[in-house]
Amino acid sequence: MTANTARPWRILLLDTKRSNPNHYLCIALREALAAHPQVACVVAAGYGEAVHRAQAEGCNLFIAFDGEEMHRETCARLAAVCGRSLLWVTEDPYELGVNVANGALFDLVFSNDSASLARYCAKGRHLPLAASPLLHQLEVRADGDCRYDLFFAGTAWPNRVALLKQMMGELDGIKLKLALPHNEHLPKPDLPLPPSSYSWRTPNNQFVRFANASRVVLSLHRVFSAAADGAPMAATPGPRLFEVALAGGFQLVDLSLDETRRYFDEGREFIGFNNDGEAIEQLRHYLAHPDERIAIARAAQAKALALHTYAQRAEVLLAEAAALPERPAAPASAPRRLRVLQVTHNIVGVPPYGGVEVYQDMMAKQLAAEVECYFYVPDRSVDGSICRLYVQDADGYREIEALRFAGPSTQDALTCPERERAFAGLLGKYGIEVVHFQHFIGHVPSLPYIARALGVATMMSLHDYYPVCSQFNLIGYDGRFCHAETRSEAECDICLRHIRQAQPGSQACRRAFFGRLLQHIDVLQANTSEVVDRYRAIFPALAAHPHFEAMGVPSTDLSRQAVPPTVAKPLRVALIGNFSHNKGGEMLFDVFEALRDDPVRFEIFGSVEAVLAHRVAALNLPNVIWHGGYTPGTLAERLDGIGLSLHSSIWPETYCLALSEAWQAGLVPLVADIGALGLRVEEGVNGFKYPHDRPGALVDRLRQLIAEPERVLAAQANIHAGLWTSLPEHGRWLAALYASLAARSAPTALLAEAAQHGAAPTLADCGVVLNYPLWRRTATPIPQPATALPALHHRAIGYLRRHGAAATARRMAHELRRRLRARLGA
Amino acid sequence: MSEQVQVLVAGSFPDRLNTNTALRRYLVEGFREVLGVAAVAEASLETLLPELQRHRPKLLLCLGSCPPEVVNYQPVRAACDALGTHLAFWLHDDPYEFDLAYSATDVADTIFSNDGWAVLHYDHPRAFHLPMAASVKAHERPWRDDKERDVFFCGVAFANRIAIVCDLAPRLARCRTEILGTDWPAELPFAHNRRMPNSELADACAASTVTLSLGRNLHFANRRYQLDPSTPGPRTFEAAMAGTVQLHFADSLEITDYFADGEGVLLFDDPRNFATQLDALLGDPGYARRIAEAGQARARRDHTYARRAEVILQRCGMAPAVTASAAAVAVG
Repeated sequence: MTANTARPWRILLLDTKRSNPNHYLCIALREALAAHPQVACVVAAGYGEAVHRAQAEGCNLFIAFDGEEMHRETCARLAAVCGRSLLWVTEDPYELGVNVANGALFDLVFSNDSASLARYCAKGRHLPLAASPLLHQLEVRADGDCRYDLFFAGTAWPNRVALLKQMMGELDGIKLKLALPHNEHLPKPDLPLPPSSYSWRTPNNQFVRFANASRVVLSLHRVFSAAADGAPMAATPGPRLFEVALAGGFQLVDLSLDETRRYFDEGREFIGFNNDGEAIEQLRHYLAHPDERIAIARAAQAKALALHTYAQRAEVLLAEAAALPERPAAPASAPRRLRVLQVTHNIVGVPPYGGVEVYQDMMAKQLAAEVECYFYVPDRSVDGSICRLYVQDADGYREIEALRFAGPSTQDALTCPERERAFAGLLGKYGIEVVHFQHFIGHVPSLPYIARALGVATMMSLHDYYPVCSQFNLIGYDGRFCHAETRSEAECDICLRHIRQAQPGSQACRRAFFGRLLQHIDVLQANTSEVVDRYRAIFPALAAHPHFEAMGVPSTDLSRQAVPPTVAKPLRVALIGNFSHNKGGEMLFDVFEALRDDPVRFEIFGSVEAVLAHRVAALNLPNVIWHGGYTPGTLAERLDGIGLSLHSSIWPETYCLALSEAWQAGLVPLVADIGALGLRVEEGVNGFKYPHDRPGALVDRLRQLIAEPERVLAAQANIHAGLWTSLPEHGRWLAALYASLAARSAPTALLAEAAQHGAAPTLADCGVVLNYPLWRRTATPIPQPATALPALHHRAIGYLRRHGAAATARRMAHELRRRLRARLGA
Repeated sequence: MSEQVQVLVAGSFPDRLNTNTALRRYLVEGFREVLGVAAVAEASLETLLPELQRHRPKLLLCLGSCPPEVVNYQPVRAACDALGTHLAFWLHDDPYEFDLAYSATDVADTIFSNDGWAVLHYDHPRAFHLPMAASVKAHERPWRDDKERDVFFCGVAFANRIAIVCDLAPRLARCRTEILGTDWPAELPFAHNRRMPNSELADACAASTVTLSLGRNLHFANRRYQLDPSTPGPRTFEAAMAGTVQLHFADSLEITDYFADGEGVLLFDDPRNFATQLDALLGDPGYARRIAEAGQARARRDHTYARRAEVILQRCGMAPAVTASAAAVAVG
């Protein structure tokens, strides 16, 4: 975006302090900048959105305000994005040491304190705080309209309390209004007043009203420093001098701060005193001479309006910014690989793993020449308190860092400041340019906000419905697909109460969080248009998402000429993938039984889910062959001679790699008419369908195909490469996407230096505050049927067979801890 | 479908968690006073979506707070988009829950905040200040000469309230004082930890010469800007409508925007100042009555939910004219 020559400035304004009771100062500056004739726009943003909005709005000037609690990395990126950068610190000399260090990131530093200026060397400028007509300007009151004689508001430093006490003693009957907040580090104020009369708080808009409603406003300075290297006292008065003047207050000012005279004329616009005695004398005089007092208040107000509003301060800032030399273009860097972080629940080689792990592994290898892939993965062998960072190289996955957290992970967590800060650290440390979220299992789902805060572009592949529901296959408590897009939150509450003991409102909380989250991810990828539509139905705001794309995932290239299918009897039917409830396992037992004496043989290539394993043994089905699991890439030759493949999922699969593999192997698919299966297969053309929840209809369909094998052969003739996504095609698409996202990411040149200071932003720092860190709060447990224990028993046996004794013991310990925590509502 | 409905007033969070559903009823009555009974409908958050589809209103106003652990406004926003309905929130727990307001600002066309200082801090292009109010029907009471108490207060014993009441205790102990609510320390002989429903509060205020007006300093989600409250809460308006004199601890002067000095409300700064004013009121029932009735008249004129409804309609582009007094409180 090019700057308008008449109104050249497009400003990003950031309050660096994440918890700032004086944010109104920043608001006042924002209003003044926005009203400046040379300003086209002011974007006031918090840490969560600042980099993103600076880029989106084409900001060319970054102004950081306050200086405290600065996250240096974010500011370094903002400075790089905007080109010119100013820091206006407001807490010198109390925070001088930190401010000077932070000042290195900026072109110029404006200090609230003239005495601190030298520490900033050539880039230092003095700029006192000011007042705002919007917030502070009030009519000067007539004497009779004043409510109080004397008003003072400020921390109860002992020197202040002593003077106030003396005034109360010497001016009998004086009507005081005091606000003296104190803390445990200060002595209790020794005043002849009960604490409730001086220990109260008021917002700044009321502070100026108390000042306006008082005949005299006392201005006393503090002797204090929170920083070890800070000077004991600021040389420049704080904002209240200007605010009270603009509010029409008459000020009696401690002259220990000589610089007050630089802004207001002593005797004409304020009255000064050098000691307690003078203060009392002046107070007595001006209470007795209201006309003199009001004239001084009016003169001070006129001066404040003319010289000491944020409009004048904005003028200074913009003039200095305009005088900065053009920043030289960054030298072209040598071509190198993009650094992409895959945030995922698991990697290939760590059982059990499935399609997502295979996909991300394939893509990392496919794009290895252009992309350096890192994988951020929870360690599933422990309780989730460890995440490991791997980089993929020629030897496979090489661990480069392990992050240990104080507590275990839980799928109920929406935020975890410790994990968020660690994640931000990784992004900076490894110069990550794109984060690709594959799955949130084992991670807190707040991580995309953190990447966005740092200006790192993000992408998420929606491999299932995890953002929609913790039951990410959308199978409800009755064991069936729930049609989530048609369910009310009350229906979800009942389902989640049964499955996860969740209190009512849990789904609303989770959906609100994920719905907002998805809007803050740069690119969303779903495998089919149906998935896009379902997500949009449940998260309506996604209709406006700028990049929500349907792109199928590729499967392993079988590199095999399709062998003509055999349709001789018995008809051989392959089931590819794990045999599980979600894949229609229970229903298939009925089908196998019904077809026990028919000329058909089912061959199962995949592991049997533990809860179904006992039924396999008990039924003794002669028409079923259990081949067990297979290694990716080895399936093709094992399918020779098989005519049909059966895909019997009971949930709306988002793509189904097994379908692609079946087609590639020349098999004709018979699929449940649900989700991607129903969408990808054209009935009677390149496969066949049956209603997903009617096993009898599946039996009928199989008998029909056994009887009419020519229909299978006809469908086989229609199988072509356009039915599945090819690896090269998907690779080109993803490489281009990564490149465009990396181009959006904020520059990282200063990271190595900047990352060393300042706590990284958390979700709350990004403006997303949660009353509870978990979406699920535990309801009273529903009594479980007596069959629960045998089911667990069978699962344990199944796990033992597949993973061995040590892994099973670890898994059982983890499960016991999980159940105990759930029982305790942790 | 009822074609007449123009405004649907809904809870912004589930009724099962909402102890202030009475406020929504008062606001519905206020809108009905302005627009007519048939033009206004009410819904809980739980029934909002079907009611929205049924009534297809021009304006949906959600009243309350928006704790993110129980609310999801995206379907509400989508329904409003489909129906062409203006979506507004009147958030009444500012500044105590200010940090949670993003749930509403994400989706709202217009935001109203009960607090004049908090509203300045909203990151929303259409955020307006709208103080709470009173209901004539629910809160107005005739003056009673036979007062049952001299001083009354009902509310949670926040730390600032305890400090003030403890400092006032020597004087309060010498008259008929009753402090109700929760968490009051046992050493205050006139304080009883007993809740009183909103429906009984007006009677209690009317039966008391003086009702204390004490702010709150307990914040649930107010870390980002640590905002101090500026605007008095609904009890101040309700008590004025009930015809009691309020002695208001002066931690903000914004109350003088709603009640002029002596118009139902007297400010105090310390126990001495409190005692002087209390003595004057108890010593001269006619004086107390004049002040109370002035406050009641002001509340009836300017601080009813009907006046607030007018401001809402005007801000949301639905009403050509607003009474001057209503406009005066709508500090944008």
